[in-house]
Amino acid sequence: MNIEAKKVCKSFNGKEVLRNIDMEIVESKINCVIGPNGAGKTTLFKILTLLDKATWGEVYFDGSLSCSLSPEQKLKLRRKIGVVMQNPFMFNTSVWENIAYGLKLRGDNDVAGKVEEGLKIIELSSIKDQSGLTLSSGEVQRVALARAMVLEPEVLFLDEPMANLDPLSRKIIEGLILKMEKEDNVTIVMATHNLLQARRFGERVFVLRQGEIIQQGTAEEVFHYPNSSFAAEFVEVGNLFKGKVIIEQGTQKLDLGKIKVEIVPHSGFNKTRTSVFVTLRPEDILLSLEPLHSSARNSFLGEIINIQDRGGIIWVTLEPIPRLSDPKTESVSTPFVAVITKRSKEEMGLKVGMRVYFTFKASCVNVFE
Amino acid sequence: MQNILSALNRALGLIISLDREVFSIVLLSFSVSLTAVFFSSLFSLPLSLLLALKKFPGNRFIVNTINSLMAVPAVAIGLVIYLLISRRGPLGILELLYTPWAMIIAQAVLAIPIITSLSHQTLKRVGSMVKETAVSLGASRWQMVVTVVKEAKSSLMVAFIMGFARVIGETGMTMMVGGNIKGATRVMTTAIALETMKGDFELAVALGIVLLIVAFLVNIILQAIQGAGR
Repeated sequence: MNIEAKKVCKSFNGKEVLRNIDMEIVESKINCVIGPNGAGKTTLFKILTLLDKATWGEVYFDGSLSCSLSPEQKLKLRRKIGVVMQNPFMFNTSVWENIAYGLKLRGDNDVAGKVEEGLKIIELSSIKDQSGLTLSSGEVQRVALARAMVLEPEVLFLDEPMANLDPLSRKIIEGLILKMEKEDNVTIVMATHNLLQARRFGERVFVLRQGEIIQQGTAEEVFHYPNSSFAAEFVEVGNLFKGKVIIEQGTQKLDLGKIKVEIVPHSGFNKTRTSVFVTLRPEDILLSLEPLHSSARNSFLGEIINIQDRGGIIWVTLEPIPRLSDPKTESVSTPFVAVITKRSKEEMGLKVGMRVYFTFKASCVNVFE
Repeated sequence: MQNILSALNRALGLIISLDREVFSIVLLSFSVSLTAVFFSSLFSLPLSLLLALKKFPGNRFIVNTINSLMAVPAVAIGLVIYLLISRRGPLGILELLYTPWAMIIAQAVLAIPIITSLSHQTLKRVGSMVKETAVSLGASRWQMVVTVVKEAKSSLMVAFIMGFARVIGETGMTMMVGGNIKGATRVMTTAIALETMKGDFELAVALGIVLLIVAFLVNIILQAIQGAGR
């Protein structure tokens, strides 16, 4: 099913919660809406799943306008859309009955078979007779997912499906989401503030901030080329700096204070002294003990100020040392973060206080205003 | 003291021997009050569902009005019903005054704000979550309403019982419209009031004990329901 929102706005008591939302859900793929708490993800989901109405703007389902549908058509449509809310509500009955609920509403003729299958998939067959009110939060999420999944929806909306979950439940739910997308061709729309998840799953990523979609694109685009400092901070690019565009020896560069970084000439920044933001992914920075002779346009000497082990990969923070040939430097701290493996760290003998060269290509520097 | 003990003694005798008069008064009390609660529920339940599940202009005003109506003294309700159904009143033609139906009407009117208000509170609390979940799982409007009622059933039960407890203990209003006619409209409370005034404590104490037992039973049932619910 194709779902498209056009200029959707939503206000509660005069307070605008969503503003001018334009988005098209990619069919049969995982779509991720990322944004901090309170960005409007849940409200957006309610509108896209017909649980709430937009104050302004339109939502199209397979080309037909949601507000022009009759109640019967709406019900039919809603039955093709599954939703698992952030804190799912369990009916005051057994796990089995909770999962059977939607099937019974539809008068399905294989309720028992489908419920048993659902229980097996979420690995909770053993507690099928337990009351829905006595479950742990991980179990509630799993039951809620099974409850939506047994209805075989064409589109499944998951609002923070893995927030506050135990590792086992997370693994089961992740597996299920991937299975539904790959094997059953279900379109999945997932709200999350877990960036790793969005990056790993998301075919299309929407960055939501204060009720506005400030960037949308492939996961790769959003993570590598965030278009605002908010998106950059939110997707944790690692290196985010503010700088000024300058022209030095005919080359466009960015003055970050201590160092000047060469960038791919950008026609949008012809004016010099334009204040811009720069992002650089930690994995795009190469560390070396000697100066490198390579095609990379940027290579600087830096002092290691911190080394942090983040579960197998090492985050190295460096403070650039201004070139002697560059007298006009400011002493603003602009620490760069680079990612290396544990083995590299050991082989190079990296320690805090050491000086190393860090090198990156001009094309890896993402610039935006 | 001697007086009280002997009245108590004879009263217990009346209850244990299932005295005909005591029995008929208790039976009438229950049938009048249960019928009244039944009719008020027919009105209160849909109204509270509507108020809890549907947003419409004036919703809040109605809720506030119902909450205020809980404070109206029963005697005032009795007076209004009396004026309506008395021979010269607009409904005088129905000849309801001094019949059990008059008591049922008055008690139902008294119970409506209580049941509506309590049901509304409970439906408002669970309603939005249940509604959203049911609708998101594909419930039609009716299926959703049925699910909401099912989920709130123990709290709704509490509202009905509270309404019943209020009306079965009502005296002045019931006497005004029922007339306390022996064998026709004499219920527990009106009988106790009359017998006490007559100085005939035997029957009064016997009925008082029954009324107390009813109060205890209602309480026990309430606690059981609340314990079993969420």
